[in-house]
Amino acid sequence: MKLDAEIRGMSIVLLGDFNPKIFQPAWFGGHELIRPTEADEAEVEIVHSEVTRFRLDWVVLQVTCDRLVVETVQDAFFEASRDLVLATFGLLGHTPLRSVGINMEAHWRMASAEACQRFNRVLAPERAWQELLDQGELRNLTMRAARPDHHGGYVQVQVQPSRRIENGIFLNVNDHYDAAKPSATGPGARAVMEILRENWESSRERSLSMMEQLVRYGDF
Amino acid sequence: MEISESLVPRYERGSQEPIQTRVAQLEVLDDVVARMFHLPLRFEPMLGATSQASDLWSSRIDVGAPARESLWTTGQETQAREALLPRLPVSSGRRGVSSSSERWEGVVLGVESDVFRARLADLDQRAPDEEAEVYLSEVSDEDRGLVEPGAVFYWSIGYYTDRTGQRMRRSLVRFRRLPTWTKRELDDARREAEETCRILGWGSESTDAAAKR
Repeated sequence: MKLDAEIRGMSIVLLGDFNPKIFQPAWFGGHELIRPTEADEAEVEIVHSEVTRFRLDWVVLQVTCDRLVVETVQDAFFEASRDLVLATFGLLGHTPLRSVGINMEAHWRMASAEACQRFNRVLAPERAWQELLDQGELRNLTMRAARPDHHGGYVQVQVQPSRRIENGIFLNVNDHYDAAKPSATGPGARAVMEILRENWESSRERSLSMMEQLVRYGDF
Repeated sequence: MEISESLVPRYERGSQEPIQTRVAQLEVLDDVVARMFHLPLRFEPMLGATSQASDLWSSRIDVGAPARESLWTTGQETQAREALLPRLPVSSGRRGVSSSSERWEGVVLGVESDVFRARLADLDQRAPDEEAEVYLSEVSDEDRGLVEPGAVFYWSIGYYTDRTGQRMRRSLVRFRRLPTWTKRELDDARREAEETCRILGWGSESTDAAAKR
């Protein structure tokens, strides 16, 4: 049976030093990184020296002093969201960036509640818990491992019951890359953007492959 | 909307209060903001630094509500945080989601009166590249100016479910947007490139010739 996630999402998380007030819809529209009407119609939740957050029809952006997140739950806009990040820090090349996380998330529907339980028992064997907890349930499992390439960082996989789909599981793969040590001229955005550009495809494929392998432990 | 200062009533610029108190107040502000917008809380023992801590599909932002599933707080910390949090308006965070059956990245090869020719690459790598003609009517008005040979676009076909749960079939074309460089930025880049060449001793003949003019 073909395995396919019911809902997919993606986020790019940057760690660095940001001035949240810069990242307003008008700035993005002025530089034509988004459509003019998108900038005009953006739903601005907050603009503050500590945090900025706004949403368009297809993407949400939130920035604090040390973290920037671009996220979408529409797979039609995964690449456009990546392009938004690349274009933004093509303009803001001197922004100190330290790390980037390429995160893929998905909700998968299992055949039944019993199938969900069977899946959970594979990840958290019953015999390890049955004497300690009465009818314990897996609520969250996080596994972290070293990166499979030469970059600093790690790969982290999170499994939870889905809150959007009945009898569903939620999978999150956090593909975390640390930039190499900054050069003598100081850290900038270029190294991290190069990581994002060069590893986007392989990261996405690896994350999807991991998810597909994991969900095969369940019944469909 | 900006955060009202009443949320942190005792924080004032230039206050004579002890630094420890101001730091504590900033931490309160930090957590209030984090709670409001489901940003990662400061205490995140289990999560990666670049993971999206909150579920992307959070349907509500409940300030003052019990911590969600206690993923990263103990019961005592939850109670302490709740004691500091004011009741703020709740907004729905539910968003439309899409599920695409086909996704391509395209490059414009040529533009005619009502169509443009493009080479399409399957983004999910399930099919070989192909060429196609795409009606200009498929392109949003604000993207029409981007349709030119060499331009990159994304085309997805699938279903879109809006915030109310209404499902609809959707074909979507979106052109890649690159930053527009100002003359000053181009001049700065040119100067930086020339300086780099000078340091590396590249193109010294051209540099000498330029100096003689």
